[in-house]
Amino acid sequence: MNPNMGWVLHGIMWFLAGLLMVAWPGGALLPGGVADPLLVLTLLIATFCRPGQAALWGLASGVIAGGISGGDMAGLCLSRIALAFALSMIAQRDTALNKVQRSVLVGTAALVASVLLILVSPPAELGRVFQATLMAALINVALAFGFTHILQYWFVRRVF
Amino acid sequence: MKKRRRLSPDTVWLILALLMGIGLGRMQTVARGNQSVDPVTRMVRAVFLPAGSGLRPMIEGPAMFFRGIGSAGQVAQQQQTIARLQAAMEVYAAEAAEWQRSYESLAKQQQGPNYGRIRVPVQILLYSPYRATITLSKGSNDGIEVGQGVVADGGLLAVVTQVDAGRCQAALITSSSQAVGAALRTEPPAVGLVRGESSQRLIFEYTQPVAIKPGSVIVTSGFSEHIPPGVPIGFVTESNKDRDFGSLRAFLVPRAKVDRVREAWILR
Repeated sequence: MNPNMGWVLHGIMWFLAGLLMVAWPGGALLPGGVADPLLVLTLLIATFCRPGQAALWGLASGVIAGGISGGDMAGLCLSRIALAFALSMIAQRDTALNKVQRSVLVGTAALVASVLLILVSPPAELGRVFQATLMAALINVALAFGFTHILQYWFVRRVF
Repeated sequence: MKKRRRLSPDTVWLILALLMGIGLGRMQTVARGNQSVDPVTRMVRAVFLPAGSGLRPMIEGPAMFFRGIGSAGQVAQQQQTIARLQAAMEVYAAEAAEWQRSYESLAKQQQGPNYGRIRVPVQILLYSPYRATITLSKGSNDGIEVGQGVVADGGLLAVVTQVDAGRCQAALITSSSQAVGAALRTEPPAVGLVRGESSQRLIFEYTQPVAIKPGSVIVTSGFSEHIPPGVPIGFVTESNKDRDFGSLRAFLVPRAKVDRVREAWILR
């Protein structure tokens, strides 16, 4: 099997996640929270690659999210770069993460990214946004589990 | 001498990424200040928006399908509400059509002939079958005078007999005490008087030996100061000659019947 298959697969999924942001802007998978598959995939790939590469994935993710949504691009980029970099550093210490651990790690990081974004650019309705963010974190953990199931096979085999 | 510590490649990439992020954010802010869109955002949108918009129906279709299943009960309730509203609307439409017909009927009556006089609309306030009189809602204040004709339902109904300031009384043409100059428009015309025989029948007495066919319309002759010529009085049902008295008679059914009208007009 081609070891680069994981990267190709991730690239396709990452691009599709960007398209999903346009195709389904209000795409709440559960009431009250909006999933962010682009962020989840970015953080997930950060657990598989070196911190420098993770930072670039974070940058690209921030540019795409900011460009599509018209949000604060600097805030999105900085929060995602920092999170992806930190997550990559954590994951490098323990390469034997199983799917659940990796999913929870990514979901938590996604939650931290959202909280960071709230701190960088505070919204008007803080309480409501925070409630939606918590709900979205649960959705993102579930998403992360699904994505991990697909990607871990390729990357973990390659590592070991 | 202190050894200079070199940055690791990961740290360099991190710093570069952070600087680029800050730079892009700055560029976005400046572009927004100029009321335009920065090139990076424009490029991202050029790549993602067309393809993403194309995908939207594929995403929204199934989403709507599952939302529809979830809200089936609500949809059923809405359909019941719509059915109720539709039934109510049909009742309303029937009612409205009835009102429209009434309106058109009234309008048609309003637009009836005035026989060269002013039509004064009046309401029939009282009807006395025993005396064969009606009391009307206009009087001398509106220019009503004794002898003026009252028309309704396309024919002569009564003749004004008493007038006060705000009301007047009129004797129906079916009253035996009432006689009206009448004519049958033939050549030569048959001229005579119509008087009441009963509430359903009138008698037309004339002198010229003219053959009058059943169904002919007898109208007012106009040989009166107040009642103009040509107002229909009734339809001939039969005619006969009374040689002993030397007069000719025809029996009529009155055109205007008091029991089916509520409004009338006085020809002033």
